Amino acid sequence: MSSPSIPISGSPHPKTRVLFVTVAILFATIAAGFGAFWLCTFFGTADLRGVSSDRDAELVWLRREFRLTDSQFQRVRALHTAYAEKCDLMCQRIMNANAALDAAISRNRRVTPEIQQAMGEVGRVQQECQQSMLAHIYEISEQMDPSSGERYLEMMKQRIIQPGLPSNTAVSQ
Amino acid sequence: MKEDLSDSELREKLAAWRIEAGLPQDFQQRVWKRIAMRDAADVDPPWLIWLRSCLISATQTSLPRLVLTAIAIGLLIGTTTGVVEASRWNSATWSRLEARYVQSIDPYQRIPSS
Repeated sequence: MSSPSIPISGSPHPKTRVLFVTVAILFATIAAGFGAFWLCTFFGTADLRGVSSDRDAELVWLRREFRLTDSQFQRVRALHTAYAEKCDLMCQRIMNANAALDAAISRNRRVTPEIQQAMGEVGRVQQECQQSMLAHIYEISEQMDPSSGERYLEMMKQRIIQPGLPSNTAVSQ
Repeated sequence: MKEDLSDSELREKLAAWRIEAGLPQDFQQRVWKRIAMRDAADVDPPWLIWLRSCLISATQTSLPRLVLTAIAIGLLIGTTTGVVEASRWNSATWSRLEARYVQSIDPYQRIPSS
């Protein structure tokens, strides 16, 4: 008489073995995944991490964004450095004018000649700053190739000359 | 009724004792059936059975292939997410550098907030 087939496991502890193999494979998979993730993020961001830590990172951005040649970049850098000093002075004038207007508003309870004068000064400073900034932007754009110059003007116009626009209107590539 | 038998008599009786009754025809089959029913009642959850069927068959045939496949899947997922994350970080950093340039030429953005 032939006996019916009975399922008999080959290993003495199949559950333990299955769990061990499963955990080992899962661990290897997760380790491989994390390793790949780390390598990709490390090497994928290495270039920009180097740029970010640069003291003149914003100029490096300008150079790469608008593909400036070495000579163009040298001229742009010189213009930027010269403008930075003027910009600091303008910043100081803006703060002084704002402080004067603030004090005048606090001292008075109606629009006096003093307030009018302070407001006029704030407006004048603002106008001068915008003119100076626009002149600098034109100067920078002239150092670039025509297409890059146009794109630079468009980007700066949206970021500076037309304040209040959302930042995503910039045409950075 | 109690009989007092000596050891020798008892041995003789036992030696002469013969079992007349035979085993049923399907005795062996019934034993196997009962064993099978007991095994069937002691089953594992379906997920463990499935996992075991996958892993035991795989480990018995090709454990290296299973490990390589799992590692390849891990590498694929890690690489994909790593590339996406690096791209996102680069994009955010590029925008930050752009904002930094704009701030460097706009005196109004350089005024420290009180």
